[in-house]
Amino acid sequence: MGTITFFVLAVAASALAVLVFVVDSMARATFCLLGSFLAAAGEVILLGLSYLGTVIVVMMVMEMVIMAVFMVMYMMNPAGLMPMSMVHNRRGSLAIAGAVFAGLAVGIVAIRWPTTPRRRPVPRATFELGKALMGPHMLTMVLLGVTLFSTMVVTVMLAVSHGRYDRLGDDLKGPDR
Amino acid sequence: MVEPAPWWAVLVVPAVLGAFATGAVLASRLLAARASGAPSRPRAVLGGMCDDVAGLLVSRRRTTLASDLVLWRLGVVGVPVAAILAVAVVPLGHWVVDDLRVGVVWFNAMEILTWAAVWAAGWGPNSAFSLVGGYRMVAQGLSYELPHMFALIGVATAAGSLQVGSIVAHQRHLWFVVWMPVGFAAFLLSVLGFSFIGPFDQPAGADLAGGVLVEVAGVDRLVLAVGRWLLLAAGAAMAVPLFLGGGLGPGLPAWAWSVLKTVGVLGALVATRHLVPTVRLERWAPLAWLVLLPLTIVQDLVAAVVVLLR
Amino acid sequence: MVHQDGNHDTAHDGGDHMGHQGDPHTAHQGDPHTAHQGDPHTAHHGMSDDGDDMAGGGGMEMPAGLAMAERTEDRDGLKLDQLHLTLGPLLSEWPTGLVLRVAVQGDVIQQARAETVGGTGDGSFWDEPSERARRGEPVTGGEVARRTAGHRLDSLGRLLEVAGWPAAAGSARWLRDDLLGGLPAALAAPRLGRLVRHVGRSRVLSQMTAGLGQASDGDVRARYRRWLDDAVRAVASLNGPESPGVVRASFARPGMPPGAVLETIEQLVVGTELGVARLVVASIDPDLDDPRIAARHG
Repeated sequence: MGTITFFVLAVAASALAVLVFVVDSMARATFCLLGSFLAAAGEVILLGLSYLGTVIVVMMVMEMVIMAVFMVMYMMNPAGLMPMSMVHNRRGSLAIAGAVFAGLAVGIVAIRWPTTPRRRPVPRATFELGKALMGPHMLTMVLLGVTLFSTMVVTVMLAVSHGRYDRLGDDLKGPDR
Repeated sequence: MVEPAPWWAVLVVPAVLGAFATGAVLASRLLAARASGAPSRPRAVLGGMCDDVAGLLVSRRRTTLASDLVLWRLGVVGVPVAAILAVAVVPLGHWVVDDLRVGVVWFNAMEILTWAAVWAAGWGPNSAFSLVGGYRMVAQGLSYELPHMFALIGVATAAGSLQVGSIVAHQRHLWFVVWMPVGFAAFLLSVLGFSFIGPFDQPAGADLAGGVLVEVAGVDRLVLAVGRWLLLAAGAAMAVPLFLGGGLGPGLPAWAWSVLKTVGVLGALVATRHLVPTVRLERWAPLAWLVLLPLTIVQDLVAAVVVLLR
Repeated sequence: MVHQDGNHDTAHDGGDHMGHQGDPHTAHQGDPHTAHQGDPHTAHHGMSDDGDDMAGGGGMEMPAGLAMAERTEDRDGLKLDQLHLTLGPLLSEWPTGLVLRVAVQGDVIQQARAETVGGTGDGSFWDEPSERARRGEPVTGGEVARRTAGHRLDSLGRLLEVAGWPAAAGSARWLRDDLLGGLPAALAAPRLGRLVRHVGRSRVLSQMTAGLGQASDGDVRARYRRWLDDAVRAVASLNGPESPGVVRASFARPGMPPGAVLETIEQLVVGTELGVARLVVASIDPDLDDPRIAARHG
């Protein structure tokens, strides 16, 4: 069952990723990418990392929607009607993608995976993974996260203040009423 | 205290959620009829709703010029699907489809799916008003999402768990709403936000002649409209285990308490729809970021300190 | 800069989409930028492009024959896509017969041109009793007051609906209909009192309308509050012999040059978001049957 799900999700993730470069609309490309990420999130959940998998869903939906807004704004022709392509520098990107894929595939085969004596889920998988990834730098990363977040909030605070067009008038020259 | 339900619960959950949503629609129509002097006897209200549903079922769907049909239909269907998936972790008394270890995050993920769905539903028909409606949903999401997440974090901190069943169990002595009122308020506001109903109906606003709803007709319109009310019901149902002690209560069985509390929250949300006009995003976003967000962070701090001292 | 005659109205309100097949503006010739459809570089219509507008040419097959949006500078001096929309004449909660041709960038209106469709010009329904009184016919003050109260509630109903408050709008319209149908003052006053308390004291409505559409007579909030006051005064004088003094359509006042109302609308909506523009128009609520609003056909 798990194996079947794994392969279904794997094929879905790859197929949707390929579709990103096939479809001719920025909006569809973004949603294909989102679908690919969701399939990848399914794989992570399958690994027993349900927290990380669900958080990937949360983050990717949010990010892809915001990305759609910006991509349509910057990349598409007016009104977004014209067909467009996501393909850039075809030969170079094919070479890079192939090399990265080959490297990762070799890594999968070459690496000596740790062997677990019994097939049972790790009790605190997310915690263990975090410790393995961050090690002694966990505190730094936590602080960094909080700092980044407060920077975001403060930036918004400085930028908003009721909107500059409300405060300064349409020409931004200052209050004229 | 919360146990997984048998497999057929998967079929029962949409029906129960639909019943709550239908009740909310009927209550809302009753209030509207009473305010405007239209016939407000229960039979007249029920008949009016049935007429409208039947009308949508038999009227033709609409296609528009140069529309993105795939994204449009996906978006329309995505709204009710997200609502039904979200309640998979919400217990009714002792029963729940699946009390996931990360139930709170699951609910959050399904709720965020509505951003994508509504944006796509607005993008699809290639219509200016519809498109503006879809973009408004993203702006609205960015306004309510962080207070919403911090409200959830406060609950999870207090219970020390992301599992909804365990969160209910931690309220045995005191409901979380008592010492986390700000989180509760932020959560209810975000429920109105992600179901784009009432004060937060700008994505489907009357000023856009219906926004994301303007081009959907027939069955599509029914699916999207039902999806909104299902989301509202799902949000109300989730507020009960998170803040109001779930099925805990004296005398009555747990499921009855769950139903009663959900009806209460849903009633308050529907009443808000009739008491408050639409909140425009350009004025709500600063308020959400500068007032509500810091308040919810302080609320989380309180929760964390209480947990540390306990 | 912009074709104010609205040749590019690709999207109509209410979902009426007309592909302008054969429209001369959609078949431009000879723009080098549009020659390579698949090339992503042509799709970069953001900030980096030189000032070569699409309106200048292009031999490209347009999807579904729709006109391409143009680009013009926005308030920040960025070059952004511009879409031409037509608001009205048929749009829910919109003054009947008003047509507002707007050029929008995103959801912000950059240019606006108000026109009229229909509109008899031989007097507003709401001014009818006072017009008869002016001609010397016997008209009671109560009759004028009843019509005035009805008018204010009619405008209020539309504004509240646009403001996303259907419940309050329903109450206003119910009372309007009953008043015009002859509801006695003793019954009307308490119902109006409830409505005034509900709407007049709504802090959200007040916050959402403050500072919008600032004209010589105040902002949107000032206008709806004046309507409420007018209605209260009119209902109070339903039984009195004297005219309440407020008998005219709210925005068009005696002595205003013809066309002033439409010009005011044009000025006020520029630079506003679509929803704000709807509120501003609803707060002015022009009655195109009023001869003081000059007909202006597009």
